[in-house]
Order: sequence, then structure tokens, then C-alpha cells
Amino acid sequence: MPRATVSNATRPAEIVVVENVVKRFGAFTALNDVTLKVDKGEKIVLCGPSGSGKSTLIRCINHIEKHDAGRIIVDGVELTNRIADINSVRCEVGMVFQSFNLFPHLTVAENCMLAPIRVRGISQSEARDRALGLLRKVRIQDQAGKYPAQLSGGQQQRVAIARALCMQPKIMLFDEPTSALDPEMVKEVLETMVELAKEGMTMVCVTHEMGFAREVADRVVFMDRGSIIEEAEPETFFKAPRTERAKAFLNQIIH
Amino acid sequence: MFGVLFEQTADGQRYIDWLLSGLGWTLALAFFGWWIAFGIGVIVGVGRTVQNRVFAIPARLYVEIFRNIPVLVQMFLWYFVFPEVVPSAIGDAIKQIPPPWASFFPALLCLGLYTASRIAEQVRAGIEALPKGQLEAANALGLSSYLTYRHVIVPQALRLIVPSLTSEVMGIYKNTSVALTIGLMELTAQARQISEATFQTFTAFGAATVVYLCLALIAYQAMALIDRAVRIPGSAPATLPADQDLASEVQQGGLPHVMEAAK
Repeated sequence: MPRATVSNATRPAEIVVVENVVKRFGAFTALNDVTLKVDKGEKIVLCGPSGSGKSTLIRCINHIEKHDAGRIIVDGVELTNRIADINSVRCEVGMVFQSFNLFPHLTVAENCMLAPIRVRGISQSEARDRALGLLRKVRIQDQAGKYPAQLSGGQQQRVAIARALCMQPKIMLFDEPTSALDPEMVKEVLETMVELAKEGMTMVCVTHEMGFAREVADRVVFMDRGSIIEEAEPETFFKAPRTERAKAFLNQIIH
Repeated sequence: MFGVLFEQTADGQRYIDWLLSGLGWTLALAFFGWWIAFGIGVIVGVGRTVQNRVFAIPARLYVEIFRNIPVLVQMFLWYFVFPEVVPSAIGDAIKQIPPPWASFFPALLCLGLYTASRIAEQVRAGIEALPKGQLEAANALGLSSYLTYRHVIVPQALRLIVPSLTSEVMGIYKNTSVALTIGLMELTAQARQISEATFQTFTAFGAATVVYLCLALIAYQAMALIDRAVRIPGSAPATLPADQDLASEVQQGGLPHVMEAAK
């Protein structure tokens, strides 16, 4: 099916365009007129207090949550309710969840091979090669035959990253990837993410890891109560936040 | 006590042969009925959980109808009423079916469809018990609804419900006894026939009882084996990890510990 391209609305460098998006859960407004543009290769860190809508925003980008108003255009395709468009966008957008969400009944390698074979239609052997290659990259290739429940949290999250990368996405979304991890496992996951960032992957990360934000982010986007309050380069944001709410937030997370 | 079973019958067999023939029909009915029930049950159970009303409403109707009519009534409906309500050509063809099969097929259909409605509810419960993240992860990878159910949701839900399916396996073979009401000579019917021919009521039904109990045990053991075979490695019962911890502790740090204690 031909994609409904809307190329004149987006500059070629923009891979994600979120325009005036509103998302409500019943009476609660999770996103209130949010506009965000992400260029190819850009790394964005989304932060803000809990309930500020940052997770909801990235979940809207691959249509796991449906937005109620506004436009979201990913890789030139506008997200409507057309299943074909949604699935084609989802192929290009990798997502890593806070709770890993690996498929427990499949081995690590099978987790990585399922979607490339069934959705991309590549052969079993090609999928296996790709999976093992990416598992090596996240330094977990020797666990390929194990099941997720046999791995530590940090290992599971690295598998989840490899699984998303196996689809060869153009952009990666991270929804608090280290929040569910024991402290000693945070580092190994962050290292993987830093490596990915250095290879030029476009990334949108919801995270409170401010060290990570400093190291890789091109922009820090601060959200509160469903709106983007502040956008700045990490150095500017951390040293001199413009808004009171951002100051209060930074005070709370930097002990 | 069961000596009478080995006596000659009027037709030259022994009574135990009657019982075994009854057991054969019971097993055939339960076995083939189970696969009908399982196949339809999984499809209807999935139908109960999809958003699309075209599937969800018929699935709901199916479950409510087949689960809420007594098995005995359903048996009569398939045997007596069904041939009358279909076009007469088909109805006549059904009535032409020779004796054992004329009872067997309606009984098979009845038990299969009834048990399917019960399995469907188990499947639905299994699907709803899965964490929402599984569906989201599958969606995020671009898997279609069909692929998500086929490769992610159903395989996990079925593993989850193996223990509760055990009671459905036992249920379907116990319900085979209802087929005697439409003339199928299954285990209970044969027991009654033996009792009428020999007046040894206790022996006849005692033997049938023992056979049913043995079947229950076999079914239970078989399902326990299946449960173990399909269990996901690493998600073993709660007691097992503790045992492993203990074992690895003994292997790694246990010895110096013991030596220290000895000092």
C-alpha cells in the first residue's frame, strides 16, 4: 500500500513532527497542545515530574496511545487510524519500555527474530545473523539461547534494545529504560544507549539520568502537567533553567 | 467380587468385553470431542478479547448459549431436534446414519461445542491475565493483530491455563456418560446393561466407577506432564529458585564457611 506522504509539511531533516497534540484520559488532560520536532540524528531527553505526560508523548509517537487532536507525522507518514500507516510507522520506530516487555516464552534470539521475520519478511538465517550481531553489540550474545526470565534486569533491557534494533528502525524511543533496574545495572544499559547515540541513531529518551542527558542529548525537553515548559541544550538547562518549575524539578532530582 | 465380569454372555463374549467396548466409545468421544472443543475454544476465547465487535459479539453469544444450557438438553437438541430443523434433505441424510454413529456424531458435536464454550472462557481469562506490556511490545514491533495473537498472546495464555484445562479434560470424559441417553453404548450404558443381564448391580457400576477413576488419574498425570513440558525455563514454581540458591551457595561459598565453623 502506498504511503500517504505529506512531504511538503515536513522538512526532509525532520523525522518526527508533533504538532499541537492533545491527549486526554477521561477528564484528565495528559498532553495539552504539545509541539515537538525531532531532526534526523538528534538525541532528545524528555524529563519532568511524574504525571507530566512525557511517557504519553513518546507513546503517541508510535501510536500505542492515540492522540485526540493535533498531528503526528513520523518519517513522512501522518498517524491516523489507518492500520497500514500505523504498522509501517511502527516498523521504523523502535521502542524500549521501562519494564522490558520481552516475550517470556521465546528465547533471547527468538525475541529478536520474531518481528524481522514476520513483519519485515526476511529469511530465518538472515534474521538469526542480524539478531546475533546486535546481541554481540549489546554484549550479550552468549545468552542468545536463554529465556528472558533467566537473565538479570540489565541483561533483559539490553536484549530489549537489541530486539528493537533488529527491525533497523530510523528512530528509537526509550520510556524510562533504567527506572526498573537495580542501581548496579543502570550503567550497562546506559553505556549501550550512549554507544547507540554515538552511531548517530535518532533518539527520544524519557529518563531521569541527568549524566546521560549531559553526555549525549542535543536538547533537553522539560515537561510539566502535559505541556512542554522548557527546551534547551543540556548545559544551559542544567546550569540555568529559565522557569521556576524546572528549577524545582532539578533541585529534587539532583541530590 | 468382579468375577462375574469374566463370565460368558448370551452372545458368546464376556461381560468385561462389553465394558471394554464401552470404554472404547467413551475414550473416542472424549478424545475427538476434546480436539473440537480445544480448537473452537481457542478461537472463541480469542474472539472474546478482541476490540472488533464483528468477532466479539458472536463469541460472547456462543459462550453464553453453550455454557448455559444443560448438557443433557443439548444432547437431546442435537439428536432429536437438529435433524428436524435443517432442510429435509439433510435431515433425512442424518436419519440414515447407521446405529452407533447415529448416536456418536450428535454426542461428539454436543460435547465438543459445550466444552468449547468452557475452554473459551479459560482462554479469555488467560489472555486477560497477561501483562499489558506484552501487547504493547508486539504493537511497537509492528506486528499485526493476527501475528500478535498467534506468536505472543495465545502461546503465553495457553501455558497459563494448562492447570485449569485439566478440569476441562476431566469434565469432557465424565460428560460422555450423558451420551447414553441418546443410545450410545459407552461405559455407563454398558455397565447398566451388565447390571440388567446379571443382576450384579454393585459389580457392574463398581467396575465402571473404578475405570472412571483410573481415567481421571491418567488425565491428571498427563496434564501435569504437559504443564511441565511447556513451562517456560526460568519461570519455574516459587520453591525452585530457593533450592537453586541453596545449591549454588553450597557449591560456591559453602565449603569455606563450613571450614570456618569447624575452626
